Amino acid sequence: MLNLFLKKVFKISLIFTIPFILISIYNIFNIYKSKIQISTEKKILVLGDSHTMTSINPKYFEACVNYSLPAEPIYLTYFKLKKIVRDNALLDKIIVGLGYHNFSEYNDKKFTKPQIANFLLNKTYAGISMSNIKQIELNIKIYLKVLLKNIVIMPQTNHFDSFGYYSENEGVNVAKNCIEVIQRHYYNNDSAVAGISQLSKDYLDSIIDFTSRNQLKLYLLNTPLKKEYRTRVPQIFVENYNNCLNIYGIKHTTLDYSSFFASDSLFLDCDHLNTKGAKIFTKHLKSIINDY
Amino acid sequence: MLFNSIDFIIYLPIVFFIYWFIVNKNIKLQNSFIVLASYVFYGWWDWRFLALIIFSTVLDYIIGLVLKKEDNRLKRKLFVWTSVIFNLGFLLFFKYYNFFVDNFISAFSFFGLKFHYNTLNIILPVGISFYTFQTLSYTIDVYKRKMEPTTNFIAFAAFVSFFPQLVAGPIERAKNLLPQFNKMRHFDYSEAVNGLRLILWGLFKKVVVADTCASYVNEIFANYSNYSGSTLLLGSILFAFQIYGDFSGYSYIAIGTARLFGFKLMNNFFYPYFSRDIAEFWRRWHISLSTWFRDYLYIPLGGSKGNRIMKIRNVFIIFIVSGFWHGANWTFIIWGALNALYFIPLLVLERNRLNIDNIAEDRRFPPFRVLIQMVSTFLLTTFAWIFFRSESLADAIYYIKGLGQNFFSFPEIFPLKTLLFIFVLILIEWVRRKTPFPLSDLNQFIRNKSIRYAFYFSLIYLIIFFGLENQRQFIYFQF
Repeated sequence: MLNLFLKKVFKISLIFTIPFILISIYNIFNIYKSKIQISTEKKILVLGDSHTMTSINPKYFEACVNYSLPAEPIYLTYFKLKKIVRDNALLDKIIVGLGYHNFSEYNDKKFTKPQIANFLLNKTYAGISMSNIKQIELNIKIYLKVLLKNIVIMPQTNHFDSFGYYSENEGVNVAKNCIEVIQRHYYNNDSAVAGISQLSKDYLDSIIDFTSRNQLKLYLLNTPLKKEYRTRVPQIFVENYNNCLNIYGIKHTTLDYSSFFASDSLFLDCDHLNTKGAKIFTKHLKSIINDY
Repeated sequence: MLFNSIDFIIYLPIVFFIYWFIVNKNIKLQNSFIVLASYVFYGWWDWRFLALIIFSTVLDYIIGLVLKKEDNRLKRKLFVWTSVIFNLGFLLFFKYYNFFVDNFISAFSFFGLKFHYNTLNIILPVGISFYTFQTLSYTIDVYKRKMEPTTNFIAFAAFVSFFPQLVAGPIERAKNLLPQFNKMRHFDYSEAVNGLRLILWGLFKKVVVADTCASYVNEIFANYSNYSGSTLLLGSILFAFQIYGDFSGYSYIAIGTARLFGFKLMNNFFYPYFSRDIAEFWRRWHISLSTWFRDYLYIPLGGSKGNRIMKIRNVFIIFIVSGFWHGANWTFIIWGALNALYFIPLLVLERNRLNIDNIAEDRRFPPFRVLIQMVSTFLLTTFAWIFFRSESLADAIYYIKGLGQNFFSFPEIFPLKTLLFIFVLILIEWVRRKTPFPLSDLNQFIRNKSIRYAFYFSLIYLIIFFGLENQRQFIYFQF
């Protein structure tokens, strides 16, 4: 009886599993061969987190395409950069968002915290290979769930659909507590200042190497911030950022626009621009980049 | 370990395989393995609290043996009270310590007396309310000489810690479960198949119904002041189905898992939302707890004997204690009291046993009168759930006040997909309302194999699909 039971369970599982195995094989093959097609008119790629996502509106900078994602850590930017550049040989300039907070250790845990890992992996699973994530702390359960969902159970038609985007918001100074944001970006749960992320530094080096090898002009961009945010950034992060400017500024263009806007009406909240701010900033950035 | 987690999906087949293929030679091995598997299951969450279970097990086992030999009434009482004090002591400390401290301080400060006393950062051990009641049932039954104490320690440890029902019930009686550990289990094909059906239906209720309701419920209850009355009504109805799907889902998975190992646990839910009055609702909802309170609290208090005042007092006590069992918050106490208020008129008018027959027997649809009774009972229950779900009494009162505002407007939140799943749940449960659970002996109901399998596969697909979307803890883990 036990054997009959097991045989039946096995048979049912097999009937249920076979279509899914076929679907997953098809989708893995599909991911492997599909490319992120960027129009040949676009020569500039923008990558970064919500700061670049809300700051650079491609509508006012026709040559650029924005592939930023909220909460994107530098290592993810590197994985995305490799994939996009490999698929689009005509790109010649890369703008990477690099602010004070990108060096905070809190970025190292983004693939382990359930909510944020789920969000980031769901958007970028197709651009992340197993060899990519070896050095990164990863919640393997969430990663497998994301793969199972997007490749097997609810397969996407375009696996790179949500790889990145520009996002606009017309709000002005929406209620978002600046102190909370600072706390999240720069402090641990015990209120001690977070450390500087070596992982982020290493991947920034990888981005620099990669762009050099592929003869791409790299811009490291610190987007505008409200004064109430800027003045609260712990000194250690400001010093670290300035060191980076000194080191990377020799070979690459570092654009620090953190104190670019004085008017609060151009901000959505303390560290993101709104639609109006993005329009002015993008136009300015366009003129600067075209001059280089 | 959660039933709806990948960990459990891997753990269950391993335990099943070892149980039926490796330790199936004798009963001692089977029981020892169940104890080990149960401790691993519990320790997965926090191994430190295993000490509490082991302590309760050893204490109640010894007290059981002592009660068997002891004839002196006073000494017997002393022993049984030792068990009660230790078991309830742990429960009171872990679950209610901060509640009592906070309330004493508030009460004293009301009279102008000030105390500086810190509450403790206590973690509530998962399942403590459930296994405490289960072991208590053993010592009380032995004390009352309703059952013989066991001399088999391993069987007793397996009874206390049996992993399918350890953390959220059903709260089994020693009389039902313990003898099952004294018999060698043999694999029963039809029981195992029904076990899988129970697990499947339980997962559907938890993952597809309860968890999809949860995100809307959380939003509506957290920001109730932003929503119209119609949305708040919808929020409370969604919570009614969330808690039902969540808890009955857990119970079905627990009962189904137990059947895979050759055990029969008591049914914990019997289509409660089809009840025609509150008395019937409480005969169908969380049956293992209701009957526990009936046997160990209500009847010792005098039950329905005595005069009207005594009856009302007993009903109030049982419902308030039941509410308090759910958590250290006034909201649960009010929830219990409200249910007592619903129940008392039926008791006083001796109409509490009016509806003990099958609902709409031999009919496809309920008669209009029955339909009205079912809907009004559901709405009364849903109203009480508002207290159960709210963070504080003030929140509950403001939520209820909010129900009256823009009641006739279209709800701002209208989760069509979730409502569709609720409709499917109601439909299937209505059609199968005479069976112990909706998928019970489904091969007799859907004879066409292809249709039956298509139905199973649809359920499995939905469970995987929504399980990947979000994994939520069972609500009753916190009780």
